[in-house]
Amino acid sequence: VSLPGGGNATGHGRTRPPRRIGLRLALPLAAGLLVALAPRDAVAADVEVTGDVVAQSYEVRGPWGDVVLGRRRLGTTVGLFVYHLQGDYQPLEADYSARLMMRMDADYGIDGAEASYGGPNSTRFVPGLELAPLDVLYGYVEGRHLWDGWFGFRVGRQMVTDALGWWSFDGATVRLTTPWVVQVEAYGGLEQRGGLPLSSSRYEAQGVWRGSRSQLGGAPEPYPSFQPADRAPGFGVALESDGPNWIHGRLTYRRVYNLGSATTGQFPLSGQYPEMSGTRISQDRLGYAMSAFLPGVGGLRGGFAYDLYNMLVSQAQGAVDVHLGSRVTIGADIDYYVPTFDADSIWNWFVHDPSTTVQARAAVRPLSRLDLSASAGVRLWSAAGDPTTFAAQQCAAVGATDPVALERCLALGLDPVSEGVHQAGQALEKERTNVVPDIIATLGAGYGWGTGQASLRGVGELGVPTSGVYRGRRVGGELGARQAIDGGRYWLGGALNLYEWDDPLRAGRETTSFGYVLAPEYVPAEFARVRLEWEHDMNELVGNRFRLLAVVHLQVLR
Amino acid sequence: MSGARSRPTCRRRLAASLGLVACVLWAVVVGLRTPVALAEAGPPSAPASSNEPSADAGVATSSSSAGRMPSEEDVPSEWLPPGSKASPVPSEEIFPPQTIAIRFDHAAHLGLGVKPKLACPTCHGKALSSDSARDRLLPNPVVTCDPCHGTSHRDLEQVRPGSAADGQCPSCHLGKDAGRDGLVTRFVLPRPNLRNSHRKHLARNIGCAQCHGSVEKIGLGTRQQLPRMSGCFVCHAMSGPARGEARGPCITCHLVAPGGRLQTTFATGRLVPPPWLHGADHGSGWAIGHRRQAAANSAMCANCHTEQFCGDCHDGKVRPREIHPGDWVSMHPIAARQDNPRCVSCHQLQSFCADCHRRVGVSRDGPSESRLGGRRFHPPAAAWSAAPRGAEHHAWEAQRNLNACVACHSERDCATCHATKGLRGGSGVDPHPPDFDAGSAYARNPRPCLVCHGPNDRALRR
Repeated sequence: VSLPGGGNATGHGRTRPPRRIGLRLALPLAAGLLVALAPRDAVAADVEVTGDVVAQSYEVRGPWGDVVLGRRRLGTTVGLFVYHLQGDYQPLEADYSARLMMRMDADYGIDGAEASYGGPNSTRFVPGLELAPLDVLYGYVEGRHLWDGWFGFRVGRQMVTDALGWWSFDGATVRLTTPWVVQVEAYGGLEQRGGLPLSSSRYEAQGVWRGSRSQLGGAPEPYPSFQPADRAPGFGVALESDGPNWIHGRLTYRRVYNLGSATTGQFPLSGQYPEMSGTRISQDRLGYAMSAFLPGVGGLRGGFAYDLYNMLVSQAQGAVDVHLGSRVTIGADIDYYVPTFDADSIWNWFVHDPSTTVQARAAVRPLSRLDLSASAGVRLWSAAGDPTTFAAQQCAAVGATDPVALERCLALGLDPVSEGVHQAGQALEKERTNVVPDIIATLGAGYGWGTGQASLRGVGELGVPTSGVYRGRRVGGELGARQAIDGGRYWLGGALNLYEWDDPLRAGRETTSFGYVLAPEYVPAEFARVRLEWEHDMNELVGNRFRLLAVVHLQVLR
Repeated sequence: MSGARSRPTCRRRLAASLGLVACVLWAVVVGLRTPVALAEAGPPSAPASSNEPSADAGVATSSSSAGRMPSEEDVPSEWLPPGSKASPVPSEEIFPPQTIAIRFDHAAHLGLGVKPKLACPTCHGKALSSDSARDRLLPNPVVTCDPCHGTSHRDLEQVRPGSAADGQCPSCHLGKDAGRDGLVTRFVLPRPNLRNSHRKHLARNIGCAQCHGSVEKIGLGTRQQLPRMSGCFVCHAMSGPARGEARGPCITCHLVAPGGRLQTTFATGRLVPPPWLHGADHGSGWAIGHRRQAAANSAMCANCHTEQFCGDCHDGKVRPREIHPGDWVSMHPIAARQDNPRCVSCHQLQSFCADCHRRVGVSRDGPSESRLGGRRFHPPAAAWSAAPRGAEHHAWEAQRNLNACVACHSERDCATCHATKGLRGGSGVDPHPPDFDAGSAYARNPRPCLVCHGPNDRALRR
């Protein structure tokens, strides 16, 4: 079957293993650029090496209280940085650097059977689960302020953060800074995706379960929803202001493609799963965000993201700040959000409605070392139709046109696929929008005294019983403190938290959580820091839960 | 490592733990805290010279958080430097607290009527050629004081007072028995932590008052007369030709750490943006509110923060307590329903969320071994999934917060009912909104359509 985009739909159940062309191209390219940019003469560059080792041990309980996972995690992060490759550094003059951050996140609590398909205990297998995945968080060569400040570039694995969210790719960025209050940025490469070498799934759009199917031998059964990961080319352009500091804006556009094959039908046809292949859109978005301020008066921030594939505004936000003197700021925020997904996902086309959050907030600094903040507002969740009367109205509406369906309604055996019932439901959905509010509030405080600090964080999320819908509540806070001892060689930290919560999705999920944390820290040298953290949480539903965390941080700069 | 407890046992343990932890925290916050006076003084600042003694006990340090100078007076706001309305006191990280152990009156000196008329460069002449903020621009007493006061500061070990009253040491200097048996109190003037060229500013016809306010009208010049960043922005935030050479990037004035980012850690504290700067107040509400700033101007964040700083929380492997407090595993379903937009800012639902849900059995496509029989996460099927669509039906929750569904379910779970009947194996329950029109979506990506519709489905030809 011929498909738009030049792809084909077939009934074959096999998929190709993910190709590595992107990596094969990117690595030599990066290496070549590194060599090309390397200074010819010996120069004094700054070299920094960082390392973090984090060990954690804790258990996770299922919703019924039984221990179902034992986590034994060891995370290791190594960073290698070379700054000022050109030698002498002058601010705002041409500057080159190379940065690399890698991570291994091992969980020795993973049951071998969970990561191994086809073994004797394969009933515990979870596709995509890896015992010790290794990924490159970022690694790039960068040039800034080149050509009298006109030009900048980055080559390698890098991140972009703007109105479209947080995104990572392997490729190149070029930035042209003009004297006319604007800079132009263009980037392109391969999106970082889970299942590809040295990659994580963090930056993929939501909605698609992807990974390497090599463990499964490439076959979709019995996990047709688990899509094979393949390279995903993407590009973007941005126009960003570079003029007066009191106002800033960035207009940005990004498009990403899905390549390769995907299983379509979720159930086998004649023993095989349908699949298709071809180039197709993954995401196509346009966004803008701005902020402006007037010292001593206030500021404005706002932005939006428009999903060109779904043809809707997926996100919009606005904020206004007013400074009442130098110590008090009040403000208001509004956020509008509609879930959107990777274009490979079916969920883009399900009925779903926006949520809108409106909040007022205040921040006060009564002393230079004390700050207080509070916010309160409401989050409005919308749905088409009235949940409390929908069923009765649906039945009544069908009854006028479809006696058979009405009979089924009366017997509470309504056939959901009846065309008449569906049409009645759609008509009802058009009639009104149901809005369910949640009240949300936060409270924060921080105080520092030179050799230590204390903080308080409180939160209240209260579902309001409206239209018979109660969405639960969570109210409580955490009080923490940290104190230096012996001039900062030792630190002692601690925290107490107390939360009262109710999860009405299932009966009996209402309780109080209490926990405490003790966290001693030792600084044996300027370049090293060792921290231990003991956390003990308890509630009546699951009893006691413990976590032991150990962190070793090293940082050397030469 | 842990086990479920009965409720009474748990309550007793909770009460005991509460008492224990309260004691520990009391010790942390109160018992181990250094004396207030020492703590408030903060870390020592670099003195003006290595052989300077510390300030006398009777001399206050001029800082926003300490006592006032004996001769310090309230300076009318119109005489303060530009930008003082937004920042009444200068930053302690940029201009560390000082000890100015002298009595001096700028207004009185400038009003003496001497010829030639006194002006700022008369005493601070070095400013005319200074290219570094670390230069000492204080008057040389041999040149500026001795001729009128009759004193001799030529040898600082053997300073000779003048004969008149205004030539006596205590008339200017502070210190117990200053000039007699005791020593005068020396200045402590830590160097500012910024880059600045007085010469360049003066060459562009920027007068002293444009940065320091009306010093000629006040008595003692203190930290109050040091520049405010919002005052710098009068020129450094302009656009086009008006800006001239007053460039806007932060590193124009701020010190730079290796890597090209701003140096933010100083002996006097951590440099953070003032609240008025693009609303980037790094106070206690910042963890929640910073996303707007990151979306609007991530380049500003990158002036101080590396990618890893963001990644420590957003892509981290340790639960950030500031966002996810204790017992989060128990409470996170409530937040997932009530604050889901925030979840997806850090978590990929199909890997981070659903992977764990599959492992613990809160997922239909999880391993069969973890899905224990007779246990159901959602309300009973009669209310949750059967028609007619009552108030507890899953459709409402899906409409309000589809992300929460997707965090546990794969598309096969939905296709079971929502795919078309026949070849696609579903029950034909149409999930599309009323008047659904996919527009060009099928042409741009046919894959989601083909999950529920066969390639020859008439619906796809509309």
